[in-house]
Amino acid sequence: MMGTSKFVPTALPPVMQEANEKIIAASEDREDIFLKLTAGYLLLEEAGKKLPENSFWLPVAPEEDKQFVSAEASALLNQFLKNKEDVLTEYFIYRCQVKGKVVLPALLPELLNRAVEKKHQRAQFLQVCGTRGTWLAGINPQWQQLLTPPEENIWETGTWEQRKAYFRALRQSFPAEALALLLANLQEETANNRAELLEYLQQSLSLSDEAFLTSQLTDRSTRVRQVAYDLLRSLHGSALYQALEAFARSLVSIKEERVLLITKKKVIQVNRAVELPEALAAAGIEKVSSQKDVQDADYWLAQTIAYLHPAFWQENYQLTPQEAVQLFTSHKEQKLWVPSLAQSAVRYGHPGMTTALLESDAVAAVELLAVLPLAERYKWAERFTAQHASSYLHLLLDEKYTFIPAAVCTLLLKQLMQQPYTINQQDYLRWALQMAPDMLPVLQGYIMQENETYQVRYFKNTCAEMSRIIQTREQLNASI
Amino acid sequence: MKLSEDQIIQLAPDSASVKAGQQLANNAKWVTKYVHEKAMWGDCQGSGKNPYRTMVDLQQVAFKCSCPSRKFPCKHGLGLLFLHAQSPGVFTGATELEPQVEEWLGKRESKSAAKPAKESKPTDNKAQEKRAEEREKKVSGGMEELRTWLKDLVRNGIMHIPAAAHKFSSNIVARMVDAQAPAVASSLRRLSDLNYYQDGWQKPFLRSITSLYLLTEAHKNIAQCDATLQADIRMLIGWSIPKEQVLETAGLTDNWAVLAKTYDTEERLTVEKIWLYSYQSERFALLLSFYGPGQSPQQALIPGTTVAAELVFYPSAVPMRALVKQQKGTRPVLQPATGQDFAALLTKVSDTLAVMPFAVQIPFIGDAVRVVYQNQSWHLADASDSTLPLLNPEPDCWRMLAITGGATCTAFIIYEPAGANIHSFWFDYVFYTLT
Repeated sequence: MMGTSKFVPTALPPVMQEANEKIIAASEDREDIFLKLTAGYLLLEEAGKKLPENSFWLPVAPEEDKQFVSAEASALLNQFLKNKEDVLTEYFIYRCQVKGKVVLPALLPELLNRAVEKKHQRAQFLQVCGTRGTWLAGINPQWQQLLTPPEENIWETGTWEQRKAYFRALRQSFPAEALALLLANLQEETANNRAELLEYLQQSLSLSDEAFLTSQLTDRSTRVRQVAYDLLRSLHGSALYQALEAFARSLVSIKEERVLLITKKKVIQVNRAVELPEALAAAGIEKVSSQKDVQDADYWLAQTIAYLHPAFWQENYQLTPQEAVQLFTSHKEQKLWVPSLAQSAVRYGHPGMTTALLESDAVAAVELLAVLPLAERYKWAERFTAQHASSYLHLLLDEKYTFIPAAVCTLLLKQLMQQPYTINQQDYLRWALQMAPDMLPVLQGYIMQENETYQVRYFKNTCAEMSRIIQTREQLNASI
Repeated sequence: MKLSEDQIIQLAPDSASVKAGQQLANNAKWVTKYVHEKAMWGDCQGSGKNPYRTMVDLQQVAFKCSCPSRKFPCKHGLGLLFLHAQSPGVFTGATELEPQVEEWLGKRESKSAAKPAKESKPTDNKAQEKRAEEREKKVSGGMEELRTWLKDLVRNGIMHIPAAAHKFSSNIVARMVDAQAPAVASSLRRLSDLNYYQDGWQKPFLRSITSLYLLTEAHKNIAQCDATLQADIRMLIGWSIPKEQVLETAGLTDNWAVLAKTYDTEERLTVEKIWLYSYQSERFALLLSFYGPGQSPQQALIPGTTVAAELVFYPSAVPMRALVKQQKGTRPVLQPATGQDFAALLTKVSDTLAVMPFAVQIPFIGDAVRVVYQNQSWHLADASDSTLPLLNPEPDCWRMLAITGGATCTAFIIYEPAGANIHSFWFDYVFYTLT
């Protein structure tokens, strides 16, 4: 039919037949007939349309058992989502959880989309979406991944993130069961997954894990072997750890030296005649010093110290953390050994050794602060803001959005004004959420600066943004 | 009347203004904030020495601000409304208007009461008639040309169209512009927007070209049509009726619910469509406006509100397009109780097509309708389970499903041959807009 066989009106109804006859009678040509007939047919079809019936009903959403956030708070969330203000969205989620409330249904699709992107915060996002959110996620194939499958099936059928979360929780509550799960299934995983799962054994690591970890030393993946060695090296009481202790004992001796013929002082002596055992070399202790002017034995000791529990010095040499730090910091190789000592304090989360190191002034390892409770980190502001403002700030940001003391904030602001690019915009905004409202005048002072250099202008704008975040937070807290 | 966040967004000239306005929805930015039943006003501390005075007329939404922004409304006006939507408690309730605000509102009232009649320029009737005659000739020639082009199109077949979708009609579009038939040119241009990747594209394509052919036939026989259909045919070709002429006709005074407001872009022009519904006369109206680049929309009507207004309708077999002749107060919209299902819609479609075969969009308020998501496709079902395909973008469908939770609601839809497009709906007596 005139160039197309895709649309052919079949049996014409009587009224169309009548129209067809009239059209043909008054036709100019066959194209004219076709166009008029088609127009008439389509109009007739439209005017006499019958709609298909479908009795399918989606299951009606269950009633929400939690209270909804206020309309004002919801409007703020809408604004955060539309403007992609992740920092404020996450704060909103936190406040919602604290208040035990859920988000109004109109915002659920956007929030669920965001939850899919935020792999590590899915549970929190889903929680504030309430029962309506769960219901909706069950319908949309793209959101179904947010729902946790029944617990008995997670390990077999869950996504990788869900399986990891399940394993992490199992290891925390029932370490032996988690170990049994790995024993049965680990070899079915890919090398990267095997290594990642093994890393979770760090949680509640005990001697009952030793045999399993030792069996992993023959794994075909280098990364898996490294993780296994790493865990065994830091497993107090394991054969490998004992070998490290024995090696350290053979290397280090404490001698007393006379000073000015009156007093005596303890000094560390390294036995350079000792050879590095093959077992330790295989476990990752490097045989040859990679640093210029550093002897192999000193280098071995530095590597060993990093894995020894800080209590080792008390148990074997009767040295308190302060004495141990004093001995190491007064030695000529202190630059090599003291960072290892700091590593050991961080690895084993030893507050005594950490405090001793921080008080000694010999070490500027900001990561030591991670061992201390949040409240104790504030007093080290003077020490770390100059060189490690970014890392120090990160150590002050916590999940509960605890206010950082004004003095610490002021010090950080003073430092960052000189080097505003050391932290990124998102960190500035996140920090603002932990600033008390009484920081607003301080920020205002920076905003009103006269200096118009590029750097200062950037910092001024950043401070203005931080002020906005503080005010928005207060608005949200008052309305949620 | 308190406006919701969504309603305020609809007033913004662009998304940048929305963002800037939202950032000003902060108590600390405002030195003073007052709300009165007639207006809202405040002083916003900007970068200048003196704060900007911002005023909002709440009766017939309008803005005035002392800032130098060329945008209308400016971020301060939007910011004040956003702040009121988010934290009404921070506003001081005023029992009396401040003199400056009162003066502004007074000026607005007196302006609308005595709109000066457009000074009529002396017209050269002879020249006008000659121009009209010439245009008639050009249009007639153009319509003939279009008939020939349409016949050639079907003679040669339409299978090659998808491959040349963007250029197959470019010559005839240019010819229609030359023939002073701009509306026909737009219809031909829209042929390129059809989704040729979708199975069954042939049907909407044939519907469009046969409708154009019908229009050429109608133009040929225009003298035999009644006056209202003649007006429709002339409008579909591109003749416009002066606003002043329409405003002179008798109006319909009623409470009009503002159901939806949409913006489309057509040939560098922004097309604004505002759909209204009268509860008393159960009648729809469409306010259609065109804005050039850089021009801000002038109609400050907000979906979810009801305006007491006198509307005048353009002549048509199915009068829908209208103009606001007079507008008074604004108040929140109420949920209509039409009790109509899709059977009533289909009757309306038949009735409309019987008198106006070129109608493509038919407004309707459906009661007890529900969104159905099945086999990854969206439908709208009524109480008797009749279904229409949903044409809304998927995020809108999910939003509606999230709000209704699968339950029924009352929805304002625009019916098209391909399905229904929900523009707004009521659920639990709350109005939501999807546009």
